[in-house]
Amino acid sequence: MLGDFEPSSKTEGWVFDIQRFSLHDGPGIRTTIFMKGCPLQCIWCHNPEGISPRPQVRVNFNICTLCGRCADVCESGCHIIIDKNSHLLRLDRCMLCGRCASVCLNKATEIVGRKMTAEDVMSIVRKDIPFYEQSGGGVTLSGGEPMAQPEFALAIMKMAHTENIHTAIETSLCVNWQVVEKFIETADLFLVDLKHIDETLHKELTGISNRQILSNVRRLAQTTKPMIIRICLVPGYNANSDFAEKLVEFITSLEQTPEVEILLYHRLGIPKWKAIGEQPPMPEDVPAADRDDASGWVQRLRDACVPVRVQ
Amino acid sequence: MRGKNQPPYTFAADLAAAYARFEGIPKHERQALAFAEAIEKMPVYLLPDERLVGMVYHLGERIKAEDPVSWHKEAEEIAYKIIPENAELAELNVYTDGAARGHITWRWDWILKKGTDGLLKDYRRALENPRDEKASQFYRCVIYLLEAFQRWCDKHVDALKDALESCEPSDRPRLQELIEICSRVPRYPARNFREALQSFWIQHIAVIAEEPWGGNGPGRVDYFLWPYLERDIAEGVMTLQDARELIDEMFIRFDERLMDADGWVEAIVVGGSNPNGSSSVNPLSYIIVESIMGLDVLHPSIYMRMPEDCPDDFIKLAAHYLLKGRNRAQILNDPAIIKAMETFGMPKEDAAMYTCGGCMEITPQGMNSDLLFAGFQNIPKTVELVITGGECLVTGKKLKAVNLPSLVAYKTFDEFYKAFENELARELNLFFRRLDIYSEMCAENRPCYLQSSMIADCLERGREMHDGGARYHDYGSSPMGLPNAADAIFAVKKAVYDDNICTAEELLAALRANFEGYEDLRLKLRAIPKYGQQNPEADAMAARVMESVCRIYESYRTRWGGRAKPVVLTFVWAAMLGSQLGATADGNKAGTPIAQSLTPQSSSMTEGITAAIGSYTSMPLNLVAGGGSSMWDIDPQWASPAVIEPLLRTFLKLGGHIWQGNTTDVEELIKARENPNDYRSLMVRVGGYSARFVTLDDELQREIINRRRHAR
Repeated sequence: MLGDFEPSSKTEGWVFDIQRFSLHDGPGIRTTIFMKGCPLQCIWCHNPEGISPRPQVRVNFNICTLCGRCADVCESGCHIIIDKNSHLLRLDRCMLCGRCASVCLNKATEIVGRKMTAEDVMSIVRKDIPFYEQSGGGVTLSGGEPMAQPEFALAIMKMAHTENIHTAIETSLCVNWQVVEKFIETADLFLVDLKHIDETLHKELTGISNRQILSNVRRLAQTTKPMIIRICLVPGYNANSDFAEKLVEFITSLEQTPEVEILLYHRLGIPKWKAIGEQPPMPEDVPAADRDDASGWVQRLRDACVPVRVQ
Repeated sequence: MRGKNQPPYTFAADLAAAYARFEGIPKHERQALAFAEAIEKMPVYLLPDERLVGMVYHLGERIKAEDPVSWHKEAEEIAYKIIPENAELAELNVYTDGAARGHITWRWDWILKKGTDGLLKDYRRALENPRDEKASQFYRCVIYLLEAFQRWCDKHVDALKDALESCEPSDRPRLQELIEICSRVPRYPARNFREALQSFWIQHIAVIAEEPWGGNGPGRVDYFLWPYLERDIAEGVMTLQDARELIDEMFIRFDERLMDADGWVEAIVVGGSNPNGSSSVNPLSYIIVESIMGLDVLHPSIYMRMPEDCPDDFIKLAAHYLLKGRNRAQILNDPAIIKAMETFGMPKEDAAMYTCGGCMEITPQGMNSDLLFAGFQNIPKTVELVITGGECLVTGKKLKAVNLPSLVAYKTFDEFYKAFENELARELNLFFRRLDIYSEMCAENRPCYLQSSMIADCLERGREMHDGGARYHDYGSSPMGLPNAADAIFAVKKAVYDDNICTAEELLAALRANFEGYEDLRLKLRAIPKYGQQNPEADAMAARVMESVCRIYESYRTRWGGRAKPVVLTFVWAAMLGSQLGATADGNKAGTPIAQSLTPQSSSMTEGITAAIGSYTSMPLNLVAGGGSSMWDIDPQWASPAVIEPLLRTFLKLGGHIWQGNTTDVEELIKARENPNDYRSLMVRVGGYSARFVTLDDELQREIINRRRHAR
């Protein structure tokens, strides 16, 4: 897939957000680059604007003033303002002309996803170098799935690595091993999001088999690269002892035992689905997970001598 | 501890009575003699179990009397006569009227080292060979005050001896020890930590009685007291634990004495540098911070100075103080601040002795005359006047002293900026001239001889501190709302002159209408880059505005050759100054609170705290000799030592001056819910990660608020 590709500062890709002062995507104070496109469709996805590889319209309803300009300029009828009190989206018709965003003075309607070069990204990353130095932080590629834009991701990683900035990549590893392999040299840390060990359930929850993922985790564990396995606990979906057992079995069979970070499911993704005009696939009555939901897991992992942390 | 037997404070009445009795004596000596008598008559108040002697409740119940040495009224009259433009500028809220006294520190370590006896010897010797009659008079006045102060101290020894006669046998050792200590100090040099602390404490309350203005404070307590404690520890007569208990007792008494005055600030600044620039952080520096956190009392205010070669543990303590100090902490960066003072023309060894006058007014301890926080200017108000052609958008009043054209008249941005600079220079120079008048009136009508006896170089010059005795005669005041002024000016540049977003006429009409009917224009103005986003152009404008302000300040020469010193803080006035402003060119509606100090406006901090700190540290802070502070709201939900410590270290490394810490409380979150546009950068910790609060949906926002409310 990558062949003789030579990543450069001019390599381009699609980014949907850059968050400075990120505190939870690897060690220290970090800048997280959210890259567009993901092969998985996890039903609890909290960055649904990262799934599509294309740019798309997003509306922050909290700051929308219902002025109706977007509706006036949209030729496809994507924006519908009802009685000056609600803003509906019909984005299946969107031609991505961008007019709605250009007339939104409050920046409530935006085109999410912009083309950037690796240098564009790095020029933002560099701004916080003094903070990385004092905190042991750096840059984290996230998404979406950064490895779904391998040339672009690799170009950023190489530049950061050359400039002595700590690099982390948050990935589902749902790509060919040949791609993963390319990142080993420049990534200081892999944050691997694992959804489920059971293949059938994995398919149900993400729409895709986990065979390639597990194989990649296994191979990555054979290298000396630091890796953290991140698991999002969703009550009623994967927060059960069966998954815990299988996870322990899987992790303890790896060549190196990675640390496990348990993320508690939260409901922040729900308005984000609505913001891109889609219905959240996750039933709205699923509650957020709390520390109690994770306590059994933590115990089980600790019993098996797996280092574990709840975020 | 505060008992119902607390004697009333009769200082003012005693002063008035004595002043009346000394009629016929030349004015300054009459004043000095009256003060001396009032000080000697101050109550002697012993408390059970105390180990520090001396207490004056000058802020509590007091017997009122007409002040025979009033200085303010006459100063006001003269100022209005000499500077007629002053009245309208104060009325238009361009700046504050009058002048506040206080906000300085003095060299009480001289009493520790020499005793009042030694100081008196110096003054008597000087009196033998004065340079002129004025000096001779000054020396006599100081001598009256020092002798009276000593007599008041002696009265404590008598009271202790009386108490010894009637006390329980178990209390005898304590009283005997106190009698020994108080017979020794402050008359003679302190020999150990107990004596040094007693000497410090009793002079402090006497000087504060003479000079009862807010912001006067002790300054470098750890620096001056440590050598005594160090020697005691080496000799095995004292431990750090003993010292901590004594410091605790002293702080409880500070608090008890000042509790009637919320917002009253007596500042102690710990850590810092030696005159040669090396670190002067010592074990007492830690004890003082730990004590105030442990006691959790409001007074005194404890600030920390971080020297260039700061011990790692001291930075860790500063981070801890920021996190757990209940919004008390103020962290000062020595290399950056000392450099700014040197740039201002102060020798390094003086600059290294800086301390805070109350809030944060940077000044070398015991070297500056009074009027160090004499008032403030609302800089965005000047921008408003230059845009409108001298019309106040809040009251409709018009500036009369000068004829300002409105924005419409300026063909280029440079013309507009020049007009802003000219008007600002006119206003500031009037402000400083007024301070000269007040300073003269302080010297003439309300001199302070006890405090002057501990100010360099009053002895050598033979002058009271207001009268040219102090080494530095710098006036301090605060140019407030610099970020707002810069953002408004930058918005004018972009909208009217560079990008044709609107015409000058349209902008004026929109501002006059407080953006009613101009919401589109307002949003376009909001979208123009602002200071705090690390936008090079917007930050450069902020730097330019700050430089203009600072240059006008430093070019003024005060009546004794000092300068006007910018002290950039906002303290409690952000909302008040905001309420005096009409709509602003950067898209704020009338009445929006101004930014805190040099911290970007909260609605402008869209790129997060690292960008905001980046913008702040890109400012020419070297020009702010009085300190350029910044306030950072830290959400207790995500802040941990692992986050706050590197943030602070980076802040210090990038050359930030002053970090004032704050934690965001529930009320702020409620406001953020109501005005999401103003709080786009506010981060909250939600379960597994941190999110920008305003991007959360309504229900979640409510949930977070409720959760915190319960957490309290």
